[in-house]
Amino acid sequence: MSKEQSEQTVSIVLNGEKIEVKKNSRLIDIASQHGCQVPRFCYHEKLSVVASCRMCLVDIEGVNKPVPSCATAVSEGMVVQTRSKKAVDAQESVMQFLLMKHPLHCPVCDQGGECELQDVSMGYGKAITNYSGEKRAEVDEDLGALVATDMSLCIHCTRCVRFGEEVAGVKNLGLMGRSDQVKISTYLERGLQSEWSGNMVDICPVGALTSKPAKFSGRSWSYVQHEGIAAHDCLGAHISYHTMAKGYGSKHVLKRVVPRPCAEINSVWLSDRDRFSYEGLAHNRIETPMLRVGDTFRPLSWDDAGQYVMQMLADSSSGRIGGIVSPQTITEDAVAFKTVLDQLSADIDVGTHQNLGDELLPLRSSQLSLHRISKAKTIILIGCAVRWDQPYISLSIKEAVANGAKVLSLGSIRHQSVYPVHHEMVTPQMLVRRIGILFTQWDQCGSISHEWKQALQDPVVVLVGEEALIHPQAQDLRHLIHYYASVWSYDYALLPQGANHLGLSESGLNASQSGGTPWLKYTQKPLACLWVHDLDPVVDLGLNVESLAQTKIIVSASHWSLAIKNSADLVLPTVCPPENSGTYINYLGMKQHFSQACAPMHDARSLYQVCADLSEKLQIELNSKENLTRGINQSFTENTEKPIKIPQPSLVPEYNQKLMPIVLTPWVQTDLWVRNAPSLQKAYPKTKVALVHKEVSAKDIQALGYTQTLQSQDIAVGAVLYYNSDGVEGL
Amino acid sequence: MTEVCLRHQSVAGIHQLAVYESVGGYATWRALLAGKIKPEYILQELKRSQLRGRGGAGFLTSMKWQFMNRGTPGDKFLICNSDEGEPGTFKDTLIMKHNPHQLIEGIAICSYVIGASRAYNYIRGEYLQEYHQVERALYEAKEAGLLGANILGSGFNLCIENLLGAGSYIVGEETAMMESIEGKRAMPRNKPPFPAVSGLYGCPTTINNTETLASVPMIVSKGGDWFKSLGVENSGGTKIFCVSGHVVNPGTFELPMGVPMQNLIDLCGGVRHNRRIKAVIPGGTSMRVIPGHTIPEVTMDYDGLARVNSAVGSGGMIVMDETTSMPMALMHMMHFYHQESCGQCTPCREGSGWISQALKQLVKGDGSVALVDEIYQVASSIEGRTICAFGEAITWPVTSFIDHFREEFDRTAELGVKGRPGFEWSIT
Repeated sequence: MSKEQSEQTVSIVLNGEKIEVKKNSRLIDIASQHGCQVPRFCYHEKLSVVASCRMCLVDIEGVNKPVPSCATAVSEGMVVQTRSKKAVDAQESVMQFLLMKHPLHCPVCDQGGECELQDVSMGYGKAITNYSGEKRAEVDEDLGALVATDMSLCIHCTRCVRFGEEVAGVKNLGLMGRSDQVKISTYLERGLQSEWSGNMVDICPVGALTSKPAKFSGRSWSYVQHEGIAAHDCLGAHISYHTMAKGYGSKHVLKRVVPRPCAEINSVWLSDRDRFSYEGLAHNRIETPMLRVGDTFRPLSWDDAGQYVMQMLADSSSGRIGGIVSPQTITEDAVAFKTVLDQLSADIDVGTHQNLGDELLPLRSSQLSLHRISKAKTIILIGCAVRWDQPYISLSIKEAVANGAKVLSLGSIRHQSVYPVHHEMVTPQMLVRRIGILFTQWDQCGSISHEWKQALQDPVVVLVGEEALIHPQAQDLRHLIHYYASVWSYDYALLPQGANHLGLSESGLNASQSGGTPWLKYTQKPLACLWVHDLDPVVDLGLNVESLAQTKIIVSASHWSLAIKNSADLVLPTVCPPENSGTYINYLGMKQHFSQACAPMHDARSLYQVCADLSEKLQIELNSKENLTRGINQSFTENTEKPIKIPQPSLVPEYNQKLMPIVLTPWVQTDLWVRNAPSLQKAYPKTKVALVHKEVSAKDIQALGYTQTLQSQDIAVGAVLYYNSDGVEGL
Repeated sequence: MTEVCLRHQSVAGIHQLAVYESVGGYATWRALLAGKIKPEYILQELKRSQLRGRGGAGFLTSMKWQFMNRGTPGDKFLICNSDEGEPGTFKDTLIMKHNPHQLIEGIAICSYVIGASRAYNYIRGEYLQEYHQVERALYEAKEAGLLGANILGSGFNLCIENLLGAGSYIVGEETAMMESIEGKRAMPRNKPPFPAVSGLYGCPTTINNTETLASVPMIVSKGGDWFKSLGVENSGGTKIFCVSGHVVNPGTFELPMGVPMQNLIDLCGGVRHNRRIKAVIPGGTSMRVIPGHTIPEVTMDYDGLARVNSAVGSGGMIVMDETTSMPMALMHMMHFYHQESCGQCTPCREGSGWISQALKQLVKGDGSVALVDEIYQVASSIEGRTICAFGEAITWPVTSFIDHFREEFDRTAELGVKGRPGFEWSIT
């Protein structure tokens, strides 16, 4: 062994076996890695060490007392016994104390079968207890719609408390009382106010915190696990879908979603949106193809539906045909859709409020790994509600802040965050101009403010969020940021909505290369036929349905919505991502394949299947799905070449329209699927907000559906915030 | 009688700055600031004096101070532990009430030696009077320019702050006190790291008992050898003993180490009603009990008490006469420990309640010999497996009570103590 190596490692004797291990590593990890599992409850590798459960006590030679292995770093010559009499005695007595007041009703406990206490007591406890006194009984607290509590089962490991403080950044839960009266509770009885609350279910070693939506709906041994990719933000967290195994229940039903460790994206965590959206799969689904007859719908067979689609498209051949897909459409589906509609010379686009099409700059020109965000020293957020819209990026920012980074923010609304942000308020009209000034005079910080000048320190990362991307001048903004990135050497990223924006854009679905809010042009020129896939024409696209009275609207979607009911002429039931297989390309350029987790509900088909049928009828050659996947794999290469050069953009003037609503979509309203997940909808406010200029009359804004106003120091001067339902939270 | 800490007995009004200075107070502090004596000299005198921590653990003070390196850059802290929570102990209250300046001088000297520019005096919440007295003395000292920034032109800054606790026993544990000062729940931290490496706010910290720090000015001014000569070998100096329980005149006495326990009891006027002594807890309820018949051979010093398998502890001596029901006394103590466990780590959180509950069952007469075994076994399984020494504080009284009075426990388990005064109240 080289000298350098020996400085990095130490040799210890573990249960009589001499091993070389990395210096300063934790004994509990080392022991587990070498096959000597040490029981533990309070220890979690992603949380701080408190050594309070005392379950991981081991015997170290030369130390009088047994030592908690979670709080012990290995050192040269350490002789450790994990199963000596001293260690076993200690473990058994701690186990007895833990089980003493713990109700032993495992057969009717929701955690039974995947309970760490149950497992560890089988392996490290004694069969009988000397205790014959009373058990603990706690009054359960309502933590909201997502996390169910049974506090009598709590073993006070404080993992949930530490998770809240250290990862989520929200101190909702705490340890109250002392002695055996100690209990985990919220300080203010307002429930959990965190976008990460579901993770407490994962880390709770017992049945004290369980998933409310999934409670009592299945046993861990009756589940089959399928790997999947979350579909609600631009990263695509790694998840596992659980469905019932054969003989235990219907294979159509998704039982729950749990995180799958992925160092590049979600670590071991999962945001509530990705975790609890699965519930939407079973709610409000479109069951069969439907044809509008007057004010009602008539069910059709798929064969008939195919005929009707053909007929509608044929009827429209003299006029224009449009196709809009949602940004969470699977790449293979989208390619098939494009192949078919291209044959009919239709315009195809991705339906979003964001203004992402551009001739000069493809979407993949901005890629930035979470690792680089977490290593940044200055993070500039431009119109970014990063905490809610992009929870995983927010975690990386939090990590950077913990390492001393400063976060600066520019926008019209001051968003809630779990780390200090220096926010610079600008009116919506001024947003892009202000950024222009900032980037042209970077070295003086665009004469912004003293704090900005103080904070700027390399490496700098610029993140562009929803508020900026839906701006009418978003293209100018992109050019500015892209051009000056090489001048001032910072990294930047656009944070689009939807899981597959990059995949769709790379497949050539951004028809509106000329810019402008993409879907808008469909409303300006009359269309003969419009095919909307997986979108609500009103909520997601802002279409004025009345103006489309002459247009035949085909909707292929998974869920019903009011606008679909009101506007669609033909409705085709399609599948949700868990019922489908395919590829997502996230904004990091990671190609993520996933296969079908559960059988499609009712009569739903994937868009690929629908298009395959049509292609037969139209006599177009359509590649098999496998070939499409292969093609996507080959055609999309990560952005390794030199950055695209664009001419120096000029400073844009102030946007001079007064009615310029900044409509921010709440994080649990991003797509049809998540809008139908009942628990998520119960847990988080549905409020849509619009920020408009002060001089816009209340009447105009009310015509758009916003009824209430709010004036607060958290919004830009000269603007008024309107909202449409029960209060503005998360701002 | 020689006083080190309780000098108000011979110097009236020593709580006033003028009086304290007139008997040589702050002379060491001034000399230290003026550079006339060096920190090394103070450490050396402390080493000679064999002063050991008066809070209970009895760790050599000079060694504790040496763990801190005066020269290393960065913040360092000193904490004076005035959270006198150990049942049967009431010594620091007298120091703070009657001789606060000596404590302040001790804190100042220690701060200088370890290089801390900020010191906290954490006073238990019930000691409001003491708090005001020390606050007043601090004000006096600051006004006289003895504390603050650039003290007496020496370039050394020192800010001493009094803090009032919120009523917890475990906050007297050193790391729990740091948590409390940081504004968190008083829950002990797992050690290592020890406070000298990572203490308050993650900085090197020294924490000493009030009596220890108050002894320092006298030791430095009169010399370590003088202090050591007051006591016996291995136990230098004087110690404040607090005697309570079944004696005629309970009280606080500052006596040289090594004084026979019998003398101490005699000073209190003996046992009330001329009864025989059944047992004595020599150093606060966390220490092991010693049976009455051993008293004649016991001397009050570290070695003397170690010989009878107990310890000086905090110096809170509780005398119990022959009418005492040992199970009931233990039950009361365990009720206290049950209430005061911080609830953080498993053995103590669950074990303290179990023992307390079992003892209540026992004094009701609902138990059997097996119940006594159970109590003993539960107590033994707490010891050494907890984060802080609270585990030992539960275990030692239980095991020593049962070891010495097993027969009475067995009897009580069968018959109970019904009919004794206070019984009905005590089991609720």
